[in-house]
Amino acid sequence: MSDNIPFEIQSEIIKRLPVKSLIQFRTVSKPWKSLIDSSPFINKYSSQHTHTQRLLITYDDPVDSATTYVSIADDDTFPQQKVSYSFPLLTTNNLKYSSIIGTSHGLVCLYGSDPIDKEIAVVCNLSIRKAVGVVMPDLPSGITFGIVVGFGVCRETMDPKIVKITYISSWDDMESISSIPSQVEVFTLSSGAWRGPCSSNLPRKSIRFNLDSVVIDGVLYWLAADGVNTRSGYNYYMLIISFDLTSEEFGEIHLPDSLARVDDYNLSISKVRNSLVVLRRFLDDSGFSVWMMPDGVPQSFIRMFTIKSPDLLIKGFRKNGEPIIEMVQHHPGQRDGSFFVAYDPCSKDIVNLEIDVFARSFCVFPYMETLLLLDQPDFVIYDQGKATLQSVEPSDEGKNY
Amino acid sequence: MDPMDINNLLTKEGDKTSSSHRVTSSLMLPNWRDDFLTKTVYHTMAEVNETDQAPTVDPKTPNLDDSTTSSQPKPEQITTINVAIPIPDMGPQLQVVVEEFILKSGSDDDEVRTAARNDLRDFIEREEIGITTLLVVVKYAHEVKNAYLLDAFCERVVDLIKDKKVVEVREILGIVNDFTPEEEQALRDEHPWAFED
Repeated sequence: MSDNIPFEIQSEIIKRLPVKSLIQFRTVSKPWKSLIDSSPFINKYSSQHTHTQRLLITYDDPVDSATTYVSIADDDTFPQQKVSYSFPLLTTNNLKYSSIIGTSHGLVCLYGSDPIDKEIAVVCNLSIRKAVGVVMPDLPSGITFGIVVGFGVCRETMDPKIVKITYISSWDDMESISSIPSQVEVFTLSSGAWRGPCSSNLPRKSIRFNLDSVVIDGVLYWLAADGVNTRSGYNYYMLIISFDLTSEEFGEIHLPDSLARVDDYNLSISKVRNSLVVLRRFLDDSGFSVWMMPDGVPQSFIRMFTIKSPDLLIKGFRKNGEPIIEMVQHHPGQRDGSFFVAYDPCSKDIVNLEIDVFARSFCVFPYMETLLLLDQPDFVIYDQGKATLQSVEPSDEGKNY
Repeated sequence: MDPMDINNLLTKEGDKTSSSHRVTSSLMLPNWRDDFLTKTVYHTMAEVNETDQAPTVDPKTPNLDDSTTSSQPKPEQITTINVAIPIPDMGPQLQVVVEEFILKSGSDDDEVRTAARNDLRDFIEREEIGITTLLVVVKYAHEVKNAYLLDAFCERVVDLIKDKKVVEVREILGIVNDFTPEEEQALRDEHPWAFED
């Protein structure tokens, strides 16, 4: 109808479309398909920050215990614009006891056991219903060693990576163990294989890791504990260990004394935009305080605010810094229920997220829609460096996918 | 516990780091139009053809490096209406708005540029500009390399087509379907969930 629109201009429009439209509009014409499927386009699209930042909320449905995935646009419309994701492949048939271990650039990494009890990480793009399974390499048995697994997308190459770190669980064993086998191994999707041990080792073998990690701008962060062996026994302190996904090197961040000495509180780690956040929760459940390391000012933590209340859990943060809080309600004779709200400490506004009050295992992650994994074949599992296509098993409900 | 109780429970310590908002003192906006007109030189067509050639563009390799964020045009970049590329017919009202926007986007004053952008966005939202006209502006913005103008009008086109069917998108953009029916169905089968209505 109109004059011929040069493809240059068509591509200006294509790159601003949302993910679902892109999937549909691959069928518009061959040039459209070539562009959308091309790696440069996929990578550029997925690193664009003009796409709306969202929050991914996951929780277990109180009725059927299925995990529900909902994302909410984290902008002026919060929390009205909700998008539900349905991903039949992730039913409990295929992945048992799974939990999300990290999100990066809109990809979600789950970790659990496959139907034959091998430990497996599954990297998912919820918006295009693509997932890639990665079987873990040999894991240590027994209790001498512990492992942590981290996930992130390398900011330079947009290559998803999984990092597995082995550490010594018990300080009693520290002296007797001279080196840790397979200390650090890294899986990169581009190579489809685990690589390790890496050239970079842990700063010290005495470091013990907490399970949860956050990834900020291509660097993974874990809370960790270290100890100095003094004459009067071990002197424990908490610190943060970082792993740069691009250079694959470790770093350390020291915490202020009020956070490092763990006498009567638990620490957990989170982030607000590109700043690292440490949450300090008092063991007697009397409240939380939130500390932030401002982006660009390394090693200096500022206490942002304190909440003095039991039955409150900070689950995550909006991009403007407002915490998302779970407020537990006790119902005598019934299960506990919860409100989920976002709170603005400055204006004291509270926004109810309108999630089912009997939802369990509520988690919040920063999220965005992405095209990453579009170029992966369906149902791929990487096992010992070989990609095998998992046979499509119908789920119990008989859904087709 | 009433959610409102939380107000009593929070103590805020220190300053919350927020995204830095520049504090601008209120300025008297210079009389930009008069200033501008005295600085503007309209080139004759002959001078323009020699010195002001738009770089050729290869249609096969879309310039993926074009700034996706609306970067401000540098003040020295656009201070003249580019007579080599005459503004196409887009209806008198829109033409005035686009011309004003281009003039103001060349201003040195940050507040003038910001106000111009807001005005443009407001105008686009208020008026229901048809897709044909939007595409005329998009083409023009692309040719004169005004990133913000391109972004604002492309976003509007995207809003209008993102929920449309594939056949409608082809018609609107004048695109010929070069897939066979079998090829097209095979592609749809790759992501059946996206085509469920």
